[in-house]
Amino acid sequence: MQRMVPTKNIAVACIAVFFLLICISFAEASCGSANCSLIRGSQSGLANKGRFVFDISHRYVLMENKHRGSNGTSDEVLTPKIDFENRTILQDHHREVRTINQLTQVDVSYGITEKLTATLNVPFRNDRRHEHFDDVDIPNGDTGTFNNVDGSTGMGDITLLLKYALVQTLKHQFILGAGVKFATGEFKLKDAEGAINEPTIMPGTGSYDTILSGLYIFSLMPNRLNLFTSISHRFTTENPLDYLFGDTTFVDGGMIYVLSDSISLSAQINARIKRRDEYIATPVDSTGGEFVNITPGVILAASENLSFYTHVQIPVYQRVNEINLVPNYGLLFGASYGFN
Amino acid sequence: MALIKPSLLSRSLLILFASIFLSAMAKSPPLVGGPAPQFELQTVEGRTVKLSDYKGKFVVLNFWATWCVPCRKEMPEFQKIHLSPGDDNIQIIGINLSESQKRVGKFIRDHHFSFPIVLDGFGNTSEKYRVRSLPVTFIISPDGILREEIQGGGLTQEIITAKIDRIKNFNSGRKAA
Repeated sequence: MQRMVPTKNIAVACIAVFFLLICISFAEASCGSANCSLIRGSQSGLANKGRFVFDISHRYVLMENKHRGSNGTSDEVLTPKIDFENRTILQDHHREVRTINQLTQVDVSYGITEKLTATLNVPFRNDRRHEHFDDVDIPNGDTGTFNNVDGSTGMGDITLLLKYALVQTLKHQFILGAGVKFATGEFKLKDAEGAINEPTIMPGTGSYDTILSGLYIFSLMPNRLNLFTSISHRFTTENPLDYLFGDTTFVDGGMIYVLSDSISLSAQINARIKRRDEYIATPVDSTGGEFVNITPGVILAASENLSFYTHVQIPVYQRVNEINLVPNYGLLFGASYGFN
Repeated sequence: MALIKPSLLSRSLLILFASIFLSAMAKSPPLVGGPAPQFELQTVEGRTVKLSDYKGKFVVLNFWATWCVPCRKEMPEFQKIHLSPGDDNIQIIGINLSESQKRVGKFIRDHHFSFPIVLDGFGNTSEKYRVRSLPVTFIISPDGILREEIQGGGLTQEIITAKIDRIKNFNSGRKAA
């Protein structure tokens, strides 16, 4: 079987992106004519009053590691199929091989006041390439039929977030966020057999979810070394197909160190805790789990208004319900541009 | 086994946010008009500077950083006041925010500044003075009361001395009354 994206090529791409960013000619960061703000919006996700910030990012996540519970396994990853047409769950329906998630997203933020920012997240290309063996439940001794055409591509779900700085001092910032994820993405795409595809590989979820978040930033050395911790929770609702994605909690912590006027380094620990999905109030096997990554990154300021960033997500703890594929690693890179 | 139960986590999250929201609603009193926050910081050479050392003088406290262009532009004006023989009762103190001793030392040497410049490495003094942008300058009267906060750059020797004269006149007017 041929690999869809060779790991060697990804490594080469990572190195190329890194050197491309390093080779950019940096301009020294400057301030306004009268003063320089020390409460930097970019660190807190807030935009200064009247300022727009456009951010475009691309995320690549390769999933081909097999896990049972919190351990790697050589067992087959047999997962169920949601048979929406007959409103049932078909257990051990197919054998997962690999999923490659690629997400290109635009985030637009606008500073309504100094303390309040509205952000629109538009995942305009959510691409999931999926490989599995179908019909593994047929007791004929066969290994099933290889399938690599059941992925999906399309615009994902748009999220509108409001972020408010409850505390905003030189050393302490606390930002509270609340938002709604709209059901704008496609969630009824058909697979090769003409049936509605697996919910977990659709561009959208079909549900309207609410999000609550909190971010605390402690400036150990203002403008040089910031520590942060954040938590957010997505309260999910059932979609029109009676499928309920599990609530998800994200817990993050880390630091950003300003190495020079142009280069900042970041190191984070990111945890994601996802509840099990349900279909017609029945728990779905091989959904949900806990995932912890360490995420080093580099942020490069090309000018006062333009910056580039890249982060690599390296899994350190992964636990799935039953058995499932888990990410090998994730790669994120993007650019951010702000103007008044 | 799951590390944390998601339902417990979401409830804890709601309680945490509610308590932080309520505590954040409490407002701090204004700085101007009250006693100036005390500090004890070191210069690049390692000399300790305390605000209390200058009681009886007008103190002009300027928060700055080398990367702050408006700060750099107005600093020669503070040096002029420092060297001015008519301004003996005025003490200039520069407070650098979170930069390295080496970088600040080079900057001072390059510009031949001779007034005390101290290092606020962890920003604790800047936090006490609620600094949110640079430069910001405070004028403290001889009785240790913080009289004025001036946000932004563009200060000149004339502007600063005029502000101090106004405070002097206001105080002497009050005493006469």
